[in-house]
Amino acid sequence: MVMKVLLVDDHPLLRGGMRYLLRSLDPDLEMDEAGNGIEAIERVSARAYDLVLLDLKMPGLNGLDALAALRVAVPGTPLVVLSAEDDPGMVRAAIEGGAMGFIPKSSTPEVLIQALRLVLAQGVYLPTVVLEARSGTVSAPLAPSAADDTVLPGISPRQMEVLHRIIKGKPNKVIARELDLSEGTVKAHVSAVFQALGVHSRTEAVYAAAKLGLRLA
Amino acid sequence: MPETLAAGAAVSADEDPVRVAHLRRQQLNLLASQATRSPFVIVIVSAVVAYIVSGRASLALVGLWGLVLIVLLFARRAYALRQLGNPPADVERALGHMVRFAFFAGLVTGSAGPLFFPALDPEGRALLTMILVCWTAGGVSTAAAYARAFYAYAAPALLPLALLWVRMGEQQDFAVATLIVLFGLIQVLFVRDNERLVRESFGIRYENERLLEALERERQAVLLARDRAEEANRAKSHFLAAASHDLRQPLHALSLYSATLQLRSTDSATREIAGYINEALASLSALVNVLLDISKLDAGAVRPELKRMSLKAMIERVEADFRPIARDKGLVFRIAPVDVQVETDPVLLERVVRNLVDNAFKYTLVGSVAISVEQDERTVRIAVSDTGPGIVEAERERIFEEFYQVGNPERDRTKGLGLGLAIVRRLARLLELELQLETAPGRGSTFSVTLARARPGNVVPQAAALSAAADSAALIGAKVLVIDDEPSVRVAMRTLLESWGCKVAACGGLVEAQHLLDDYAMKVDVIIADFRLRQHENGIDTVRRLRVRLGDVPALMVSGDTAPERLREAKASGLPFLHKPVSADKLERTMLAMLRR
Repeated sequence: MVMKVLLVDDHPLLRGGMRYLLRSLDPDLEMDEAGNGIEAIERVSARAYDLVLLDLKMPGLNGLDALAALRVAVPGTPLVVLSAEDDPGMVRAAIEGGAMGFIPKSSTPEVLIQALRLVLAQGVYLPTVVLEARSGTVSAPLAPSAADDTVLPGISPRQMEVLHRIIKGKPNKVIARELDLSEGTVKAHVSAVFQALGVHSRTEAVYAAAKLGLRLA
Repeated sequence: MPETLAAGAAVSADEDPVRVAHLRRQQLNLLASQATRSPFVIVIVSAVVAYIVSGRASLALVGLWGLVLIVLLFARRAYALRQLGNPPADVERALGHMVRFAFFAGLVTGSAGPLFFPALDPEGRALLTMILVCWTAGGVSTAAAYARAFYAYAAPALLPLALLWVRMGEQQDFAVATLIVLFGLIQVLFVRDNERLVRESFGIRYENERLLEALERERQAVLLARDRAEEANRAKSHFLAAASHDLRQPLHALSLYSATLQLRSTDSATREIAGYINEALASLSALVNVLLDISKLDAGAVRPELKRMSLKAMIERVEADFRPIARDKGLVFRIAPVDVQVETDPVLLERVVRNLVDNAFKYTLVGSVAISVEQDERTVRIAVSDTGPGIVEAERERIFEEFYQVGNPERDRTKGLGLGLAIVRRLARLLELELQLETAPGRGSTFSVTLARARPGNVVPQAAALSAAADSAALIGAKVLVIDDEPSVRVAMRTLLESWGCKVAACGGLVEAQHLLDDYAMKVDVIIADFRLRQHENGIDTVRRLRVRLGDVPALMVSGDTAPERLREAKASGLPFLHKPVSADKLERTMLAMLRR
């Protein structure tokens, strides 16, 4: 399957660089570009993408507003923020706004390659500094060795599917439709998964997933 | 006027004219204010004289003499009052007039001798002489501030009297004349001294005032310089912030190209070049990032987020990162993982410790680096010690300055940028840490920060998280009515609440809410309403009206409004109130608390 990616950034140089890098990581990848939030909304309305990479600092519709607007326009598409900011508060705000990952532009080329590889493979990437700082407050983190691409202890495969979709930012209704479940069942799965992960919100689930190196198949 | 007399009032030529003008003005003031008081005394004295000579000299003569004297004195008084009330531009001229007034007053007073002596018996003459001599003594106080005025007064007042006694020819009369002149001379000497005192005390006062003025001017200059320095510093911070922001953009793009080059290079030479580009890029990025960090700190743009944290986990992370460096340099790296809780910004505190450890490894060639933690009841001290070269006294302060590096005048970049401690100092100030340095040349250095222990009364976060997780089940199936006029907020709220298992109905205002209730016969467990809705609808009123229908449903207000009167209004309503942006944690906690009731 050819992966379709939309890159939203106002800086042409950066878009050019990202195009080369993404093509090098996945030669089959299709990449479209948008220079601002409004253009991004137009693009996602015209075509379905597997991933949207979004800069937070752009002229016009900007930052978290653009994120919220895209979230509403395409509730199921994974959004990953690509930002010059790497402030922990900003990362949290982006994840709370519905993003499923956050890549600081200031990362070293090696880290950028790793992060993009992870994101293209539907993994959750968050800057290490954020994960480390939070480790004191996230309760009962599971040992990283327990992480597997699809299975976590105490979580059924069906619950895992629900978790993947929650992390991608999909509303329960969409999840219910995709998995052919009732909404009530989805909600029950959500609370069971949260309890198993020791989290109590989607945001914390995203952090936990990043820590565990979870891949959302 | 004789030369010696004039010298009494003269000032040395080298004195500055401003000061002389000041002195003259003071003398005029003293002279004038004395002149306003003297007529009243003199009226009494001249009445005594008139009484002594009355019956012997003609009444008309005595009356005329008294009248002339009194008119003259009151004219002088009027002139003096005018000078006091309205200071003259030409002080010298006014002083000249006062001298002339003094001369005429002396002349009229002194004329009492020639006028009345012929008619008096020796006893009367002696009495008159005594009165006139005393009279001039009174003049000392009137004219003492300005000697010239006294000379002008005393000479015509006393000399005619002395001459009269000489002319009487007896030996004892000569003696009286001599005594009168001697008495006058003593008064002259006294007045000269007095004038010198006036001048000196005035000089001291003048100097004091000038010093005070100079001091004030200097203070203003210092304040101005400080303001300018602060402004320059602010401008520098802003420039750095702007410059590093703009520098970062192309730098980020460069990272991407470099990463691509690394991925695509097939021959070893290209890979090597890519490696070098990466290295150059890494140091450039580090520089720009650290500059941005410093300018952010200086601009007050960094707000610490205080949290309870465990030092042990943080120190172990730092150890894990620096262990390879210790191995490469052949240094011993010791840590003391004491588990103690502190309340601070975990990210920023970790940067402080990292920078200190980084610094220690940079300067230590043999021996060890250690992180230790000491605690007492109230404080925790984190110390980073090394066996490096130590720091001489003269450099203790300078090492905390930007770009200062001990022993790196050639600014070898591989030794870093010299910004680590500059950031430590700023962060310590921001987090209110006490930063200390113990060091001596050849004996290593120990940098330490001291901070307050977390109070044991606080709930341990792990337990809180667990109980919250257990509780959060209470939200599953809860029916929530969201009222917000902003569609994107409604969507976000719905997503969040549904992720907790709530059943959500969302609408834009009261009318829509009532439709929802009518059409779906919906039950509501919790209302979440925005404070300010479209068309001046107020969330509190909306909740009140819905409660008429729904009974006492728990309700929660959400608002981005921070105007004080709005906050008061919200508070008065008794509804829980959350500020936008509402964090998920807080919303969940509040909802759980409301549902438990």
